Amino acid sequence: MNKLKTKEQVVATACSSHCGGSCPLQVYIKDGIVTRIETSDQDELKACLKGRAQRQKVYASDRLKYPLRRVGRRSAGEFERISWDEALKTVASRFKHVINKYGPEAVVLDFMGGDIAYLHDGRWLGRLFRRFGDYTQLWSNPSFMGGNVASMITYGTPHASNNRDDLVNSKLIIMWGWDPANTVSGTGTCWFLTQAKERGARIITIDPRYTESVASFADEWIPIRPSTDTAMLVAMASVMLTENAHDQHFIDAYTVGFDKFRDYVLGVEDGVAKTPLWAEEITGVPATTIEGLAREYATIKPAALLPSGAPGRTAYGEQFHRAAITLAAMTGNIGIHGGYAAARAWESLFGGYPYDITWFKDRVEFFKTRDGPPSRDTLARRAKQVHRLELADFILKGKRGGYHADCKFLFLMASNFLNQVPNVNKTVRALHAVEFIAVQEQFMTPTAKFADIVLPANSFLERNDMTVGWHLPYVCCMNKAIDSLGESKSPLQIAVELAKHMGVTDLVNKDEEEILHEMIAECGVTDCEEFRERGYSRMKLEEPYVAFKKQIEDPQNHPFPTPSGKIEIYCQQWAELSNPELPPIPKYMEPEESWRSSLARKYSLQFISTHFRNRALSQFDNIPWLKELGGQALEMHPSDAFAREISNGDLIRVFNDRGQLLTRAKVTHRIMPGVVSLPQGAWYDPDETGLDRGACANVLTHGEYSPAGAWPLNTCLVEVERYEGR
Amino acid sequence: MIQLGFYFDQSRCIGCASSLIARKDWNDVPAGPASWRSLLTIERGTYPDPLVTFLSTACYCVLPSCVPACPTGAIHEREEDGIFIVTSEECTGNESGGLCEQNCIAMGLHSSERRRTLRRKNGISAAATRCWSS
Repeated sequence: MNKLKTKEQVVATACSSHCGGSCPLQVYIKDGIVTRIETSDQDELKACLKGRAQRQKVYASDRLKYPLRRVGRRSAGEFERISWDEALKTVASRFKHVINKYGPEAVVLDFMGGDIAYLHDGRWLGRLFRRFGDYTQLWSNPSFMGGNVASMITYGTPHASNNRDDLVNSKLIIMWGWDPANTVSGTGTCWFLTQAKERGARIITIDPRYTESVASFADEWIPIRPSTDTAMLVAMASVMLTENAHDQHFIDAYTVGFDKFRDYVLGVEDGVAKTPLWAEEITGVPATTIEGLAREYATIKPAALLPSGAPGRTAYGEQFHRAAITLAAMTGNIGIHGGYAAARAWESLFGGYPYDITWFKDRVEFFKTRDGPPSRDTLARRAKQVHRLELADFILKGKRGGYHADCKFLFLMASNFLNQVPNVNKTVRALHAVEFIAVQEQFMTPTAKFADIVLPANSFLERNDMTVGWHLPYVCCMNKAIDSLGESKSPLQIAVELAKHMGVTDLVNKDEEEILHEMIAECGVTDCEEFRERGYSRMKLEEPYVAFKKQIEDPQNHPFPTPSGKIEIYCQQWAELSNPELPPIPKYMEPEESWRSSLARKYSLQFISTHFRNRALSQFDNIPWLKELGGQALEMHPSDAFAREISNGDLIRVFNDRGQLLTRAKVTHRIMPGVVSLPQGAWYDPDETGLDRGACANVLTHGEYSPAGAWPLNTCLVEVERYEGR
Repeated sequence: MIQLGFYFDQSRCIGCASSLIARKDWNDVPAGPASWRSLLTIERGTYPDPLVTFLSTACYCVLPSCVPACPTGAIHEREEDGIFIVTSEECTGNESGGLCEQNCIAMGLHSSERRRTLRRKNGISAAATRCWSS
């Protein structure tokens, strides 16, 4: 295929859409317009459908190109075009007004993972706002707060993953709620899973859904009730202990506090032995299946248990991740090729490799501090911070409700907050109540509709940036391919110009290009020109990266970075908190909205909301190429559909006390009975009765965060009925 | 004679749909029924033992029914690689009723929208082109 058309120019960049990967892109440009997009043809680092659709996203007819001021009521979507000068002047004067009248803590700045990378992110605005005092920071990570906390308190670090190329060394791979065929989960991950499968690795998935990943890779599918995974892991530990199949040498040499966990598992602590039969009742997984998996994990070596973030996005989600790590220790699969430390930490999202790069380490430190595990110090600091799930409550109640401040000024960037945070209807009430809202966005999202001022951000194709690989070590240079559309500006530009309107002229004294050069220099890239032309540079390692290899091979000289220097199955720090919901050892605790609770009599279906192939969270929902692929429907088992007289394709209403949405039924044998599943991220679009016709999953999810901060997105009960209206 | 075709390893397909979007992007085909590739998800069996597999196909035929249907003989098989192409000079498009499209047996992949797009871009029209691109 002759790729190069005459007069077409090719610019290398990387798609980094907070989707699960960093994918090299070759952007073809003619007369300053992107004509098409290719990906790497050199290796397994291939862009997915979203990366391939970037052209439609950049040139989407609904791209925001000019600053806007709200003219109608909030959420009505009525805006008028204004100049940048006027927009920034308004934001600056409202900011100063709030600071002077209510103090800096009345300001909330939040950015999530939209179209941002390492140069253009939220830290510039953070720096600017901090010049005027400590604004109220929101904490917690929606995706895997539980995993992060578990990794931090058990291993003392979030750097706890083997890289994906090491999967080929595994003889057994246990994919726990993990669906990389849809969620990417590291560019090239499915390639390495395919390699592992073709080398004969046995692959088992535990998932309420028969996902594309189950279809593509699994030898065995074990459906499990959502939000009960910890019980199954604990029962597997019980099988290993009873049959003495665990690796006692590993436990003795590398861990502390295992005895207390053993006492809990065997029922010495509370009189309840956590047997497979005990777990069968909770999880819906037959006891014999639990026994079988426990035996396989204990005997086939090396084995990699890969926990997804999803089972940890539950009430007490942190316990799932702590239990998974404990099993990895019991089977001695930590620090070896083909094993896996069973962690799902923050680092595994933005790197999966401990890059020795300042701008990477700065970000890890930021998140380690912000989203660290509960401790006396953390809790003291959080007295003046707000969990993201508390924002609506904080806005609605403020000091009256015991918060440290009243929220008056809200600045959101790269964040479709309303859509992506549980209990949308409560957030709606809250956003109506804030004095001033500024939103920095590329599209008129459900969140942006609430803004008083909308600042149009450009996309990564319109600016220079850098990013790193996810789960494979490489760095990407994201070269600017085209000029900014309309009057849109980069996050750095917006922060610098807003600063000037606030009287701050020294926020950044370098331009984008200079910052980029410094960032490249820190990566150890020798040939800068070649790097920029190619767009990415893979680090040359002699073997796939394995976390904790040194700690396992040479424990005398390489202790784990925990207080005890060992893997802390028992966490003294949590013991000192004396919070029964934060037990020092991993435990299964029944959540309030459990399928066995009394609420299940009213709402009898367990609702999970999954990451969707066609979107990166809520991004790409408005892209025609992706929208036409379909799939935005509620999956339900034929028996559940039959009981409600629902047929495949029917319009259905899904509801609970928190809200209601309208969607289509996908009646399928690919989901376990009693569970329904909806792709999350569809844009909230309520009608006048409050029925969400956009099918935004978070209309239904609940917003009470777990004791360690995990988002309980997959602990949710609903009911479904056929919708007779139109 | 050389006959170009696509090799597809079903055991490796994960149903990601990237190839669909890649072809839409490369050939500048707007959203709509027109597509150069299709992805079929085959679902059989019952819980808890469903069978799910994916079939990604390029849009082509060994014996395209559009060729004899064309009133102007605008669809030719290219000698060197067996690819069918249409020359825009000979194709009269919808004026002759879109007979190629009506006679298409390839899952309705060749829509009029696609034909318009192709004519505009490459001077080729609705026919089995095996994702041929200039």
